Amino acid sequence: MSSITSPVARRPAPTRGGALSLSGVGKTHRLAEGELEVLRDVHLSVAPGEFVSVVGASGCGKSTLLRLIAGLDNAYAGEIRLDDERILSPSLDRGLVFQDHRLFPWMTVEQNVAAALLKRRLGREAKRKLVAENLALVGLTGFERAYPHQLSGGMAQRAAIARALVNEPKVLLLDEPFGALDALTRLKLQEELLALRRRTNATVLLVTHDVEEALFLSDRVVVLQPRPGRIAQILTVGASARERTSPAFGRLKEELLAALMAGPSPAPLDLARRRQASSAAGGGVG
Amino acid sequence: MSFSAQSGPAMTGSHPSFRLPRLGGLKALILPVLLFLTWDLLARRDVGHGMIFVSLADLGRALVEAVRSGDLPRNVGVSLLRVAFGLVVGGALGVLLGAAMALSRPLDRLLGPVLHALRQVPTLGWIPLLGLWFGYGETPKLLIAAKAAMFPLLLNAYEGLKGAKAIHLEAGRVLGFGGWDLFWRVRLPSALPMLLTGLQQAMAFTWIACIGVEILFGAGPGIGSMIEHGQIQGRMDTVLLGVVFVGLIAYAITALSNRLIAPALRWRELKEAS
Repeated sequence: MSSITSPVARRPAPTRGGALSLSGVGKTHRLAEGELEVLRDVHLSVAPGEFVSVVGASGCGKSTLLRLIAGLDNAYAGEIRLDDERILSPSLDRGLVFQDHRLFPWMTVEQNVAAALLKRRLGREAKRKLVAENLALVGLTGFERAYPHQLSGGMAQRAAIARALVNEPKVLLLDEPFGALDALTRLKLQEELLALRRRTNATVLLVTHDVEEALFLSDRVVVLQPRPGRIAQILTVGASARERTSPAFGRLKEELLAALMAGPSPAPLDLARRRQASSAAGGGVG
Repeated sequence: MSFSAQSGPAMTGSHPSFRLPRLGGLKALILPVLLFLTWDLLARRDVGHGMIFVSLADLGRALVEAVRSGDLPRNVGVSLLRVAFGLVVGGALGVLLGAAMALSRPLDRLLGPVLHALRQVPTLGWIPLLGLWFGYGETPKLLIAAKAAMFPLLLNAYEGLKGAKAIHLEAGRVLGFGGWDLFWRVRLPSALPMLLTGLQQAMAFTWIACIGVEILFGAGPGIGSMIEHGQIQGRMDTVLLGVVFVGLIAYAITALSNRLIAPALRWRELKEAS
């Protein structure tokens, strides 16, 4: 073995998360019938390594917000910066995981993760190693050659997470990543996400409609109000509130649900149904 | 369902390897054998007075003679070469045109109507025109073969490349793919099943078109011409031999194309099955 080790020969030092800042971000869709304002004047700063969740009713613009940060759409008002650099296009600095895993069905798990390294100037061996490491990180060792359709929903989502992490992004963007999974798998992957976060130090921005998920995972929770999407409230989650069974968790959940339902838009009937649903299910307001 | 079953790796069942359409062992042979035996019986009873039915023995003699004289290999070879030309030239043109039209709206608008109109003219409809233009030599036969190969590939390339899913293109953009990467890594693999279906159709159509044009033009070598000559000379054994070989080669082409295509579509196995 030569004394010169390639950068990936040893596990790289944990990357520093990036600082994300949104100022006056607005987005208007131009439709045939007119204009639809989706986001208005969103200000948000996310510190390096911080885990922030964005919750809101469906249609509140939370996914749009994530798309803007991902750089998939640069026709927006205001500014989004990552470590002082304006975001106008996708970059490997930002990893994105969607609700549907969006793995390429014609590639194996291994090839899917390697596809994220296509634009990286690394040797074949270095890439292979990175892929293997990240598959190990999400517990998919042994499934390198499987095709996405051969995986369960949870495994496919883990592969998608490995694909998003393989470039060691400064920011990990998660768009309802566990929304399509069954309850048990979701809990399991939430635990794994916390563990991953401790190991990677990436800044994480999670969009979800699951209030408990947001509280369990985040340092702060941003409540988005719909039509147009605006920040209604930002809650800070203390360490004690992480425990799902703790009184602090319950209190924050109440507060969060109240903030969600304070929005002016839902019709009274709709609101009543939500309240019923939330008390019955004990969370997960859509 | 237990928690461990959830968290543990769970491949969704064993996946059977792709089954090719095969002869199905001996079962598939029953019908052809019965057919030949009936044929032979009718020939021996002299139904049709030797003109319509030829005995298997006569057919066998004709085969040996045709192989020994080199006529059969030459005719089959020439026909296959025409098919190969059609597939390479017409197929390439079809894929290029289909791709260009799928990726460029102006080109689609410009070429689409003309090509779709041309496509509607059956192969037989081109024969008088091509005969007048190019005579009865090799050129019209090659043109017909190329035309037969071009359209299935054009249509499938067009549909396939247009059919790339927005979610996959977006996933590619997130991974930093540029236009070329998106085409090469996302659009093309998405289109591959349709392209291969197009290739399969093109192989079958080109063979049929090639035999057809050979029969109609008659002149020169080729298995279609051989059948035509057999008819003119009243040689039922030659005609029958030609027909049998046309069928056998068509079968071989299908089997070959299936075999070539299956490995490229391994990622679709379960989707197809379920």
